[in-house]
Amino acid sequence: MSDSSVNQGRILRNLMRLMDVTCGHSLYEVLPRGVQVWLPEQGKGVYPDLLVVAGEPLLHDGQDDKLLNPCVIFEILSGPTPSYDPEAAMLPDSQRLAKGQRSGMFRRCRAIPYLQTYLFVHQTEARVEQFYRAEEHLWGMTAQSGLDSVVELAITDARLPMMDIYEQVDFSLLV
Amino acid sequence: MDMVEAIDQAKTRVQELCDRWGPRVDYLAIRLEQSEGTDIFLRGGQAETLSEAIAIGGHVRACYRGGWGFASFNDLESLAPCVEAAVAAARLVGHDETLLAPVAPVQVTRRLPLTGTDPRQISLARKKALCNHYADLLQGIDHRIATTSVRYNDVAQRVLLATSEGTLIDQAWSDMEMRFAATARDGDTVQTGRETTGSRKAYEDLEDLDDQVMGAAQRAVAALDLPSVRGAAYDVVIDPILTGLFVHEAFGHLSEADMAYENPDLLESMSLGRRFGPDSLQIFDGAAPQGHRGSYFYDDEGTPATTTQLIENGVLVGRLHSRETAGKLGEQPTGNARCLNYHYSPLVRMTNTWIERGTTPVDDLFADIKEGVYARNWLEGMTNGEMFTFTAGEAWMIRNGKLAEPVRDVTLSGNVFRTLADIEAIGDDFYWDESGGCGKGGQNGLPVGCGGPSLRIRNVVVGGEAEAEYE
Repeated sequence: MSDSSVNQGRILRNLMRLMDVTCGHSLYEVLPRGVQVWLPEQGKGVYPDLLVVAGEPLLHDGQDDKLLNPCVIFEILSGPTPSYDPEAAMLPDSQRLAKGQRSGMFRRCRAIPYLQTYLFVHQTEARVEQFYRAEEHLWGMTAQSGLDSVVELAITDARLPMMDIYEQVDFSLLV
Repeated sequence: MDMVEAIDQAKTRVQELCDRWGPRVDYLAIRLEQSEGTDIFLRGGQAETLSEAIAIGGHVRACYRGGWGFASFNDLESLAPCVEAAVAAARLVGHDETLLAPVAPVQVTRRLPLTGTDPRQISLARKKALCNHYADLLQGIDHRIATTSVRYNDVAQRVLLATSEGTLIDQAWSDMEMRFAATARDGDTVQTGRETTGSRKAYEDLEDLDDQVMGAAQRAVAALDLPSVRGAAYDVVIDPILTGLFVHEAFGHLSEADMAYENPDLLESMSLGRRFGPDSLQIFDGAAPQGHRGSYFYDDEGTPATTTQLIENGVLVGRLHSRETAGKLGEQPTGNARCLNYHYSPLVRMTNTWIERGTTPVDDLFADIKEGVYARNWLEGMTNGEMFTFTAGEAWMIRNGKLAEPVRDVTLSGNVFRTLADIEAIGDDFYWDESGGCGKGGQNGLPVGCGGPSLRIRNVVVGGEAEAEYE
């Protein structure tokens, strides 16, 4: 997420607040956008919108701008992004891009052994897709839609009411 | 106190507690567990984890008028207070009817037989040396190997289960697992190769895996230079390992009666008698066949292990049960209630799940495929209800009925029901994948076996990138 819209800023603020209250206690630490998650095998880093670390942050070669061990990552989607669609896999890259492709950060982050759950938060509708590590290399997915539902994180025991994630978000704003 | 002694001495106590507190509830079970295990993890040849641990603990489950109470402990002194707590909790929440399918009480001691050396008799140093040997093999394949990982786990578990119905089961087994991965990098291109294996039979099963381990690194390196597959719907042939993954992840989880019981739509789509695949399709699950990762004698509710046919001649004929799901759905318990360890309550879990061998010679599976894909092994998967996406470990194009050029980034996606119906031919080969490691409800890494033959499936969506359909 770069050049945030007002709605993205609102979602980020809400998530930060919710996550800090629900799991920002001694066991977990919630860190906002700007912290680099380092992917040693790929020799590069990514900048999630929000992340959670269990226990102490683990740093690559002791460098404090290269975090290795997020257990939860949030990505706030920048535009209208299609939801799960099995047929989309057949589309060539150019057409997928035209349909609003995501950043690819999830694909890269799946190699992080500490990562347990990765959440996509839509900004044009109240919808959160959560991918959780069901087995070492197998991810399950759950999706919540609508302001009356609740996102239950696969770890940290956090429960995030959609109403609170989307507080003050104006879905009529153009992105 | 020696742990063996601790469990032996506790036997009388748990029976007394069951007798004393059982009449206050409809069902009371006390499960004691002692485990002894080793965990080694090498990254880039360096040990990140090296540990041997011994644990003892247990849990108590009580059911009263349909409500469950649960308490776990890691100190036998807490046993009696935990029984009291679980009984009190059950009585607090129970307002309905207890429906547990009956099983005959048994008093028995069983040990899952080893066919070779017990891992407890092997020193930590020797286990680590084995890991180092494999790490060296992975690293030595090519200078483009950026990193490697080798994981070794073993655990010997002894479980004592006593119930208010008079069951007293003393059961033990040893379980071993090794996981290997190599990541190759060339500029921005990163490719991974993996291998996993496990055993409930012998430490020797983990030795002499050189070729298999090197294969992981060789695949990672080879894939650096391969072209991506062109995304499209293809006729696909998959190897037995992918078949095992498919039958477990895509189909098996839907057969777990707790999933269906909690989801009326799923119960409807998993109606017994519904046709799912061709006449030649037979699918089973069972802990009764010996020698696999999901084999045992009794489940964690004391139900004897069985073999359950899930699909017979293409038609759904069974599902997997705990005593409670069987009781609620009016079906027979199948011995599939398992817990990862004493911290957890048993859930309906798979054991060994397989598609039965077919009759088509493997070479004939490729015949008549003008343009298709042959996929072997797997790297990663995603599931979402009926939908699945699996990334193949390696793949080739099939052209005019023959294997052609290798390709990479092959993901197979689809709806499990449509895919079962699209099975065109079932190979006459068969392989048990003992790599195990099933996850459900936070209880991850449960040993399971998966088996099957090669399959030919028509019209499978093949994508060039794993996340294509999700992202």
